[in-house]
Amino acid sequence: MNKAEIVSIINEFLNGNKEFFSQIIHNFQKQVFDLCVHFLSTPQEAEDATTEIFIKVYKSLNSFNSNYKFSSWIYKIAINHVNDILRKKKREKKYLLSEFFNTMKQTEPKTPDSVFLKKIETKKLKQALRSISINYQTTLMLKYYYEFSYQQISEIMDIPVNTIGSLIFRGKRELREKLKEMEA
Amino acid sequence: MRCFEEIVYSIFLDNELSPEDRKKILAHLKECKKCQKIVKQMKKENLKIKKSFETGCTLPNLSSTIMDKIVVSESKYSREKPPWSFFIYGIFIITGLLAPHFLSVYLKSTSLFQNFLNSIFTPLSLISHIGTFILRKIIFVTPEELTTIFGQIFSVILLLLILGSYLIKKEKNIKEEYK
Repeated sequence: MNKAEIVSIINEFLNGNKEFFSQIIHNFQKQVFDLCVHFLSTPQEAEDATTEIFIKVYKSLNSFNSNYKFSSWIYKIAINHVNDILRKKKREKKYLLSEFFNTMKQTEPKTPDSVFLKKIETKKLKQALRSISINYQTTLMLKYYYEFSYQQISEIMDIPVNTIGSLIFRGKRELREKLKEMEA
Repeated sequence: MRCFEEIVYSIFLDNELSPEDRKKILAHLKECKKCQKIVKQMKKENLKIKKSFETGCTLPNLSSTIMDKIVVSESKYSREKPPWSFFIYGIFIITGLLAPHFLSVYLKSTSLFQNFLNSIFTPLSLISHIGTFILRKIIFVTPEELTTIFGQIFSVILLLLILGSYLIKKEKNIKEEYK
């Protein structure tokens, strides 16, 4: 969806054609859902959070500042919402535990060895990613998964643009350390 | 040429360096095998990070579910502050101000009770006297007339109060349900 399309949808929405909002949902639901899945423990929980996030977007669409990039704005709402949930439930620890037991439960692989090993590697990386600070996780996700520029990341996370580079670098360094710890 | 710090390569791979700095890095990388290795490793790492964020979860189309929820929440939201709520709160305040005074007037026959009331309500009746005074200034009536007029109105207000408190309670229930 390009900028002109988004602007026309928002205008239609502001003119009272609320049903246009479903197009916004349709376009952004996957990205928002992926973000929620990463931070929350179950897909069901992520689905609920996604719904809540879009309701928030709907309610505050009137106050959307068109100087912002629309997607950045949505991610900002999503990240704040997910952070609220995490803060509320202190889920981080619980999640790590459940992940740990999931890995333990995994018995004989049906897939070929190499594929299985790769899966384990990804799983370990996922685990390590989830154990670093939320800020690092968020920046790494915005940069490498969503491929945002530093400028956009700084807008979404409300931090100065010149700190993003070092934040990402430190995040990766911490990730490496966590992986080493896990291997030891 | 001296090797750059690792963070510079990280920013370089993120495509966030200025064209001049980019040129310098590229020139250095052509010569330095060690840095080439670092950059290659970093590239791999970035890709791995990207992959580990992939959820693999299939998402059902949430459009209709979300739109339904929005419709429900909007109808509840609009009921959150009904237009008559100010009216009811107003009645609460006015009645609260005048109640001690009217109580004492209505129970004048039993002077014992009035003394008792006065002892409790002295500070409150001061407020209600001020209320009466202001009303008298506005509608120019004698205190006796005022008592009769408001005596009649008071019973109506009481009825409204009962109805109002019932409605406010119901409204609160709706809000809680919504939360």
